[in-house]
Amino acid sequence: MPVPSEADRIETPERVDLAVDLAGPGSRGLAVLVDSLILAGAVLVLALILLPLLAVNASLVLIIGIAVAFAMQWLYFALFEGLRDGQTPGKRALGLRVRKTGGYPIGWSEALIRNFLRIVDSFLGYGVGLLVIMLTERNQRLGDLAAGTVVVRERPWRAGGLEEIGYRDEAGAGSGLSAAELETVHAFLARRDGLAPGARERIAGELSRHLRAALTARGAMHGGLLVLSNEPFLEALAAGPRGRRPSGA
Amino acid sequence: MDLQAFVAANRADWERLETLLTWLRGPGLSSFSPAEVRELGLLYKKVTADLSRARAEHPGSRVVEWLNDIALRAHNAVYRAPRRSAKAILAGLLAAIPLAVRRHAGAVGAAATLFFTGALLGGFGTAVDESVAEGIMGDQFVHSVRDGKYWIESVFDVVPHSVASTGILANNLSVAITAFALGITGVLTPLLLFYNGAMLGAVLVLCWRYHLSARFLPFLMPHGIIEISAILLAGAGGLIVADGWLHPGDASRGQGLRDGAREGLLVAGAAVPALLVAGPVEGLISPMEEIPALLRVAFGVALGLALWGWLTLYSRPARLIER
Repeated sequence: MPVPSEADRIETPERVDLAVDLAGPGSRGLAVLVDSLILAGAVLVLALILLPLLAVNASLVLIIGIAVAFAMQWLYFALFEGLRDGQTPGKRALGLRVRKTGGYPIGWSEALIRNFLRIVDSFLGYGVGLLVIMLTERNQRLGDLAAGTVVVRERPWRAGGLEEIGYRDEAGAGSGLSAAELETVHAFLARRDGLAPGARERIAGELSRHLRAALTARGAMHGGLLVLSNEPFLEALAAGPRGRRPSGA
Repeated sequence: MDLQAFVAANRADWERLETLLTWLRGPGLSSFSPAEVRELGLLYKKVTADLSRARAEHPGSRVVEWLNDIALRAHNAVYRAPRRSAKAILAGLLAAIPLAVRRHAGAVGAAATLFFTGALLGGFGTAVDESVAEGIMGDQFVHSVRDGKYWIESVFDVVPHSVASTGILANNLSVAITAFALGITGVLTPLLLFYNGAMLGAVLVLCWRYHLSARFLPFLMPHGIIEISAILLAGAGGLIVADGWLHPGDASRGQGLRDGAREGLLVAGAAVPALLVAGPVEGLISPMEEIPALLRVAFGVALGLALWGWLTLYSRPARLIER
């Protein structure tokens, strides 16, 4: 299974820790890049609208220009993160969100503090921020340290996930495997690419031999599985009888 | 309990929670009946309990990961910060900012000391040797003052007053935010305060020496008092950030920094209304030589009294204390 390389823990009032994936400097840098492109695009559009008006009312155009430049530097990130629950458009595009270190939603003071301090983190082309992110336990830049925030990676929403990972309701439980056996198969499939070639074949062989015997003993070994070699056999078990059923919406 | 039995026994509840969370993303919480809201809370608690049981009995299984995922979503739905209206936030700040300034009178005093020490040294240095002023303000500026040229006039000849007001406001707000943000470096906010003071001192002495004071002081006073106050308050905010992590006391350094940033932001927030007023005043009223000098100076003093009156005296009327 994909183990998140870096995780933060939320301790809930119920005394159960929840694991959260922390975003790394790469995806955060990309999010800033997306936001910068959006800002550049907005400037371009605005310039196309305003330039013809320069002859009509130069003062108004200049005032709007000054206000936009100020908003771009100081307000864009803070307003989006304050209003959209910790997401600028760039963060949204990359599935990132700003949270308090305890996992709670941020408020206005967090949004303002972390983005006002962006000016310090962006010294030397974000070199300061990058260095601090790499040195801190929770990938925080200076603005995050001062605001008490982390940037988390959100997994995409998927309803019906329990079926997706192979737990069907009683009616569909047709694979004949126990849940523990199914877990073992999934664990092998998730890790096989990282195994040494010899070990990979050996484990696939042992696992298949054991499961073939178990399925045969339970009378659940059907024809389609008999012809498969070791790894395709395990893949078929992991996929389960889903292929034979029309998948739900 | 066997994993399959564990899933079978609880999946109805889990999938019900999943359904509720799906509704939450679609129609939203306002479409929930009171019973469904209560159900969401109860199911969240059940899932966290199931999660900790799954961690203990079936570590490493994908059910743990799945339960963590859904518990996290439910947690974010259950522990959502209440949204406050802009009006409520502003009413809160109206009282919270003066309280913060009074809590941190020492930081405001330190910012003023840095600024006015800079002003004294800049002024004194300029009086002794004008090359000090050249170092602070640049050669060009000093030469034009030496020629008796009143530079304010030439600025407003080029730029319309409305544009100047906006530009001044944007620039001052940038300086204020920067003064706050640089606090985390420990040294740059004090330096910025000192340098801005030195600029003021050098300009005042130059104006006095080249007989521009009679025009410059009535220009400076209407906006100057609140504008300088704003820089002091924003700088004080930065000093509070620095002090937070340099002297965290019993707290950890990280906690000290976070507390300092929150408090410093409130104190620096006092600069915002001051600058929102100072910008238009500097663009529209200060350069109006048709208005008698005394009137302009009195106006500036009144604005200063209003700002500091708010910061030192205002407290929330008892009946407005939030529900």
